[in-house]
Amino acid sequence: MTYALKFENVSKSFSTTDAIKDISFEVAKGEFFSLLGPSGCGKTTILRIVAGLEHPTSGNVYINEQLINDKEPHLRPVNTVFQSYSLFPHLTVKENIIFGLKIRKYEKKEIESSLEEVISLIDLKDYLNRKPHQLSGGEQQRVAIARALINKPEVLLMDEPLGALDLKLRERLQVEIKSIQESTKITTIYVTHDQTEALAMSDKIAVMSKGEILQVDDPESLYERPTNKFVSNFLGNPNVFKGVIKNDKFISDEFEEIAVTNTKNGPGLIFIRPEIISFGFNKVTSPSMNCVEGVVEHILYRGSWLDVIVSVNNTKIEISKENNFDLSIPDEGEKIYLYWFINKTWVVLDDEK
Amino acid sequence: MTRNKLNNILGLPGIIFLSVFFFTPSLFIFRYIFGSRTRTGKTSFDKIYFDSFSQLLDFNVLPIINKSFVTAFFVTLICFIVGYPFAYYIKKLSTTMKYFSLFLISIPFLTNFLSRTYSWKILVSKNGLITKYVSMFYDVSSLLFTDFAVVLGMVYVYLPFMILPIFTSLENIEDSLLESAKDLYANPFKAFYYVTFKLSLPGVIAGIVLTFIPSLGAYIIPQILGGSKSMYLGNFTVLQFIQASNWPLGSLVSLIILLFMVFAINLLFKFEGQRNL
Repeated sequence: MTYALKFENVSKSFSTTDAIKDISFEVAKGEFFSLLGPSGCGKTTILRIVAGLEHPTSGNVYINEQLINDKEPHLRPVNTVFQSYSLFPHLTVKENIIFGLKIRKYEKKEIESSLEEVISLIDLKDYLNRKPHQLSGGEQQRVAIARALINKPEVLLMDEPLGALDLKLRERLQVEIKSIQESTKITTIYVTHDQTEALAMSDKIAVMSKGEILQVDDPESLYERPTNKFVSNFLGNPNVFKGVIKNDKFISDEFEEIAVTNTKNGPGLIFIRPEIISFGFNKVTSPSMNCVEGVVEHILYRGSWLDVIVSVNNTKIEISKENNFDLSIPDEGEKIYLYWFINKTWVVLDDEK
Repeated sequence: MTRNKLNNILGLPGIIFLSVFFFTPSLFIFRYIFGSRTRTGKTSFDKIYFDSFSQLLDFNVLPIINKSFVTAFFVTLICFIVGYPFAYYIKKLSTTMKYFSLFLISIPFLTNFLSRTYSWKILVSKNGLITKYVSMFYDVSSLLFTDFAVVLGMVYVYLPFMILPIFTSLENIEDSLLESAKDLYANPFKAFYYVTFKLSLPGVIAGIVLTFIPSLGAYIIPQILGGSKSMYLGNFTVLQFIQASNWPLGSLVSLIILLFMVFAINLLFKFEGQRNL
């Protein structure tokens, strides 16, 4: 497989702190690759190293098989969409978009046709002669995307491009960015701290914490089969219990016995996602199911779904159910049974960190 | 009270002050132009005179105007050439050093203007430090009462007025803009020109206005460092008012300076306005 971008044992330290430690990963050509993690985890540093705005302390960075460690930013075939948009306030929207072509002295005709092309992807026709300060945040960000795209970079870098926008607009632009990326097949590195955004848009996600990449996988594997304590906790909102695993049985203070599959023995954690737990008023006995008894503590009616907090042996388990308008909603204080498939409980042992 | 009314009240002291101490005297000056100097040095207003205009032509003020303009032009140019890089340098300093530098720049303002100008007189006179240095290359015995001394003195005084507005506009430019210029294929020189310099233009224009205008009407510096023989618009005006008691002619020259300034400011702001359309 040919890659568009490769990091090989890259580290970067700023005076006393390590921003990223020994990072290695590859991004395939045409891939939408997200760097996901809480703020300060080093994801933006990786992006800035690709852009050439920072230089790695050690390790190698390749774009299209070419070592680019010491290349100046203006000589790299990459373009960035900055979180703060960074549009030039003294230039019109059009002048902003064609800046990269003009700097490289493209012919007028080429510039015009490139502009046409990018405008066919991102509709900005009505704004071309306006100044950035006359645009809304969403419009400004679309200009910033057009300004990067028009250069047809080998790698497009996006640094939390939707971070400053409200939820509705963010969701709309997610779809827009994704469809532009799919039609242009531009290799994209997308930095975000928003897990739903990363899950919705990416071909692959690298989850980061404290300067390290913990897991790189496609969204489905990452969400359903995390291999790591941090990743398990960071994505979604799972129920987590600490205990000991012995012969495919999990034992803790709260639970007598919860069945798990395919795991070694030792102290560790189990994770159960709220949405895989079903509930009913009768006990379920099935060899493939776990079933526990609990008392409903709170019901949070959220419209399109329902959160039920159930107390099981004095510990709380959260259940999340999609609202199909046909749910038999239990009362608070009512006794119910919770059940879920054994193979959907996953385990991270302590020695797996 | 509406917000608008409150706003008007806030402007009132300034409006009153300017009306009493600027607009009214301006009207007096305008009236004086059409007066006539009597033998005793008083001005007669019994009818509309045009004496000042004919005297202006007799005096052959064109070389004076010319000299004042050329001097103001060079003072502004030198202030810009020296001031812009310096403002850029300060912007790049750490926060503490930045404000310390700004403090150092404003120290001369705490010293009396006259004594500062007289210090320059010592420096450029026969045994002055600057004269000694320049005489190593050129055959001069004293720089006092030369145009060189006048330009030097004015650059010294007006340089901060160039540096400060440029610094302010440079300070407001976000570093991320430079990064995005570099990301969009601009080498450091192009990034500077297309982003930093263009965005600092409002400061440059303010600096030009603030140095050019006082240079054009300067009086004390040409008087002390240029001597009585070297005539600039400023001392020519004073000469008419004080020594010659010819208030009509003095008023006319004042008006001409004022019109030149209005014209120059207008030109600069028009240029600045066009960029912002």
